[in-house]
Amino acid sequence: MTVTVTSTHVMDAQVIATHLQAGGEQQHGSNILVDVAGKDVGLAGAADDEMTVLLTNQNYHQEPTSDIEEAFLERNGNNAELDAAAGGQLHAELAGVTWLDDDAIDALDRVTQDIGNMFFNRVDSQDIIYQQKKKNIKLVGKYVMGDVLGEGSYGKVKEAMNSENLSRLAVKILTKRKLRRIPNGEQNVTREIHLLKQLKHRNIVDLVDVLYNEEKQKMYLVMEYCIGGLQEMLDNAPDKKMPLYQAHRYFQQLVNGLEYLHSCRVIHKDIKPGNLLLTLDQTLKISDFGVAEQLDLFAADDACTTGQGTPAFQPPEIANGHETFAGFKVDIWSSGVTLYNLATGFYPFEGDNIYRLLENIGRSQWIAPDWLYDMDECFARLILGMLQADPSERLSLQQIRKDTWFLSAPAVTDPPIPIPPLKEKYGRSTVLPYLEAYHYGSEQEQEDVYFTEHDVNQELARRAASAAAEIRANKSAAANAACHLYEPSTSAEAAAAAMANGSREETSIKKKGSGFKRRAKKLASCISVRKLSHCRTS
Amino acid sequence: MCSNSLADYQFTKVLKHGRFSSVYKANCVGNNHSIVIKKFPLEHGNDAELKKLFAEIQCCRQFKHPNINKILHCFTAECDMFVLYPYMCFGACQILLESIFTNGFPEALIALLFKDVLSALMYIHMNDFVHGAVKAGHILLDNQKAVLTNFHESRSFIKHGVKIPVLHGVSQEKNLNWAAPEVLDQNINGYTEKCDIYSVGITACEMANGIQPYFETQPTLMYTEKIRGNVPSLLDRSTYTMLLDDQGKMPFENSMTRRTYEIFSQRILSDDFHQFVEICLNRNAENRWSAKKLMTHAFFKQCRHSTISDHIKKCRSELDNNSIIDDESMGQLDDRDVNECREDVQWNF
Amino acid sequence: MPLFGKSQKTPAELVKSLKEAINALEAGDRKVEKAQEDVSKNLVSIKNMLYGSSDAEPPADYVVAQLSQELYNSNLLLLLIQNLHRIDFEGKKHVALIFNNVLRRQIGTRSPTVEYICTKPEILFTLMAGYEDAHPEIALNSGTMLRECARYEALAKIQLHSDEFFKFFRYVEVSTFDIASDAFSTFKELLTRHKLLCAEFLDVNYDKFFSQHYQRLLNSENYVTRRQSLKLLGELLLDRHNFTVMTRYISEPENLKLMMNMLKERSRNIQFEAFHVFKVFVANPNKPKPILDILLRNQTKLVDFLTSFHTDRSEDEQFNDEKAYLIKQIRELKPLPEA
Repeated sequence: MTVTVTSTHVMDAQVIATHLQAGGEQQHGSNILVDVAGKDVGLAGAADDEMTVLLTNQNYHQEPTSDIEEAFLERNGNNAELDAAAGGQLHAELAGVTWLDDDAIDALDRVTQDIGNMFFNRVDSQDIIYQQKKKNIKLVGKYVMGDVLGEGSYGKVKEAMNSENLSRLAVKILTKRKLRRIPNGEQNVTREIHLLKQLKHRNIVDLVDVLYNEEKQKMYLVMEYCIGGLQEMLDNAPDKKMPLYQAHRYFQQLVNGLEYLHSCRVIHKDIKPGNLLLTLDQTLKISDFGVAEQLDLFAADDACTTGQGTPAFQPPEIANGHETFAGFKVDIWSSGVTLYNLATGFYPFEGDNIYRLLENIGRSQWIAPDWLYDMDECFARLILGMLQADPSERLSLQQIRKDTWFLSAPAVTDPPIPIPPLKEKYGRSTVLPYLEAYHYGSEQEQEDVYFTEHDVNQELARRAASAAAEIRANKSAAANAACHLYEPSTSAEAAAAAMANGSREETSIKKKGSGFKRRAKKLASCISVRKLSHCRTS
Repeated sequence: MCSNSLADYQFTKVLKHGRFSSVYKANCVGNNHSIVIKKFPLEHGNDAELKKLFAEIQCCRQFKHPNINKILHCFTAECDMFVLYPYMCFGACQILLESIFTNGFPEALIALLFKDVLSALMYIHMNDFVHGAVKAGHILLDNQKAVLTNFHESRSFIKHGVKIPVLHGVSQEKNLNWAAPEVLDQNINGYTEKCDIYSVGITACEMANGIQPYFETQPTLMYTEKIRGNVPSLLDRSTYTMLLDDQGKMPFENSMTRRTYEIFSQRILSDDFHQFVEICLNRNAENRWSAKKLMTHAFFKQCRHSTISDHIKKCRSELDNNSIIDDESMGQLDDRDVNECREDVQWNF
Repeated sequence: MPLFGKSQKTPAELVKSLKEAINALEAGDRKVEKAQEDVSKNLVSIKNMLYGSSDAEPPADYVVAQLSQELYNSNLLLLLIQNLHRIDFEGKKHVALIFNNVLRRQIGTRSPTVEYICTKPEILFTLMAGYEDAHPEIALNSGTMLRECARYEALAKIQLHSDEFFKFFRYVEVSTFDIASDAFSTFKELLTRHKLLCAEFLDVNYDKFFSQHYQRLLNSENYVTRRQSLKLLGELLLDRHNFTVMTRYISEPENLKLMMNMLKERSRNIQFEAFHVFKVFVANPNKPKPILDILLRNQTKLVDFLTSFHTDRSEDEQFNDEKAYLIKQIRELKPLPEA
């Protein structure tokens, strides 16, 4: 019998499958790794953060073994020891298994939607065992890969670091396969790259590099690193909204970015909180130019014919399917919806499904609710101006610049909503563990960390509880706190944390003790050309 | 000294040829006062590089301090820009490390130099700037004093009339070995002017040990080490044991490093010096002393007992042997650049 | 406990004593040195009051409010700027910092300092005159303040519409490089920040701006001037807000000739910038006859020239696409049909 288990856990763990395997292409063939010097270090189990499950459930056909290590097989067989320990039998059993590829998975997905065909086997959380994924370094060109930051229909975004100048970056990984499944996928990407290469502005995300991997049919868009985005911030906020003054700050930057785009004859067409990112210093960056359009230099006006943006943010002229419409005013509308959403947590138009939604948008002029006027009269008027159904009545960017609310400095009331809790406390690069594994961690190959689903649930509960406690504690913190971490950054605390952070990692390596083997080309620490190692631990 | 004409300058010696600039010793025609002229071929720079160069000059112009290198004048001739600085006869400390003080500067001289450097940093920090590139190569020396130079990485905390508490910019330096962990970290907390203090600590090791920490180390390893809190230290009798490998043996082969090792294992650097460096290299920026406070550290007590010229006099003979004779043939710089001028094409208007 | 610290003065006191000190400085009588000292001391105190310092907490809002109020009430801002050349080196920087901070001050939708300066435009003109040769030591500080002012449309408008604005064409070429460079940044800021204001200015003053003055910059002997002004020209023409100005510019044969000459300049960078302006002439679907004539007369030469133009820029896809497009367009050029 087959079991479908989907992972919703955020934790970075890898569980080994025997039957089901998602994202098959990475497992097949060779993942060629190169070390930082550019030399090929051979095959590696450089899998994604996909989750796969090995069940020790009695009902499953596989015999549970007493020695827990034997039950697990490294998916890409890099771990010869375990292979041997498991003995030939297990391996032989698994040898007959067919690994699913993406198309088969798609088929399976379609099947599973028909619930009547599947039955789910109830598995006790204590019986699901995970293996801590080892952090194998992966390089794409000179960029060291980190963890996944986000996913979309086009592919993933991973954090990365330039191994030469150590700058933090984000890499959008596009696979030809996935692009083909999206209407105009490949076209959109080409256009996006073409546009991003031209655009240089502090409020537009910066494209640093583009890499192609012909063999794997993958494309890597290397961009500047953003710590988070407005959508995530909203999702994590208790009321799904932010204080008016905070929305104001971001809106000002959005207007600056849009003005630049319009100067360059570019219409974004998909402005929404999800495409507005923030850098470490709180600068807003407009991102995702997948459906953007650049007008001809000599176009008499900004007439456009296509609109492929997110439905909730589309203006009436598109919702009603007009053949042509004024391009710039489309961005104004979606910015208005965005601003409304940021400040209120609501959307000006709703609908049970897309058709209803578009119908509502296109039907009649939106009316600002009374409570909006009560909240802030000037703000309500601005929103109304941006959400005029008739594009010619709708405010232009320059008119927005002269708007009362835009020009004002809204009072700082409550603390700003923060960037959502980051996996790593200080928002440090997720590339670091991979680098540590690469530079220090040959012993990690021997040591594996195992934990059960039950452990995972407990840990998640514990984290949720502590995060909630921190939110409560920090809500009363000084209003001047920027959108930073939850924890108050007093010096003592930061110091303790930093030291703990440093020394913890220290001791975890030190504990390995005498078995610690160093790779031949790896340096102990700051060894100079004269081979003087004059570094010590703090 | 304010002439804008190249003809008014006599170039006497080439001091350095870099990727983006060349440095010359020169004097004004008519007097023998030596100056340094840095030549920037602007054609070689793209717009971003030019912008950065102009910003560096603007920045330099804002500082007036005896221990900060001063721009005497700045002009362009054809496609080149010339920036005039005072002549610091011993050049950059890095050059001295490579030529004279190959096993490190004497401690007393380091104290004297650092007193000047910290004085400069104190001034820079008071002006709400971060220097961003403190290293031996950016400390110039003459008979009387040390000056801090090279402001291409400097940043201000004040933007548009507002002071921000921390900076987040990533350093564009090619060699990041002097960069503080919080700068490399690029995390939410950003960094403050204390990153300069860390660089002072690294520079101290560089100047005492004769070589920069993390020399020829992969940037990613250097980054990992720093984030984890590993720090370099001064090498002397008390610390040399860390040069030994796991088996307690010296891991080098050639006689040069063996000799250096022997020197280090014998010498004693003062406790004050060790402590000074530890304070500078504290992993937590808040625990590092400010430049102002560091100047009161016991390490600098020894400055009373000698002057820079005392130390230089001792090495005078070596320095003289090492300095290059003025190149008489330099004369005036030929400023005609060979560029692709399309003289052959004549439009028909 | 004293509100402002033991020996610290209140905002009103600070402003008053600074004003007295400045007046003494201006008068230039015997006590000049003491006056300078007083000016510097007070400037530091005011600067610290506005920005906080390492020794003190950042000030409370009402302190800043009071200070700003005092500064306009006493006309001290104007006084400081008029006497900038008399103030010492560090003091000049503090004046700029104080000015830039107070400029930002906002109450509701109002910007009181901006309004104040609108009533006293001589502040702006005095700052602009800071680029004159007479007092090079105040140029850079004046520039900082001018650029901050330029961020506010009302103040940018005053600067742009003034007669003094056209002096910038001279300022950007002064002999001291960093002053010229600073002047150019201010000049650029004024011409690019406020889109509608700039577009209108360029439109209304087209002849004076382009034909009389900008032409000279493009033909300057100074390499940096040529390069920077050519790049700015490209930015101005390609900004959609300046569409009308662009169409006008590219219909003038003199401009085309200039660009074609700059294409074959010695400097590769200038050649490249010229390309980006030249392309607009060619891309114009409605080329007026004189433009078309020049292009036709040089049809073959242009095609040959462009084919071998910057061939080493193989990585720049966009450039190569544009180049190919231009070559094709020129090849296919036909004279206008006879009327």
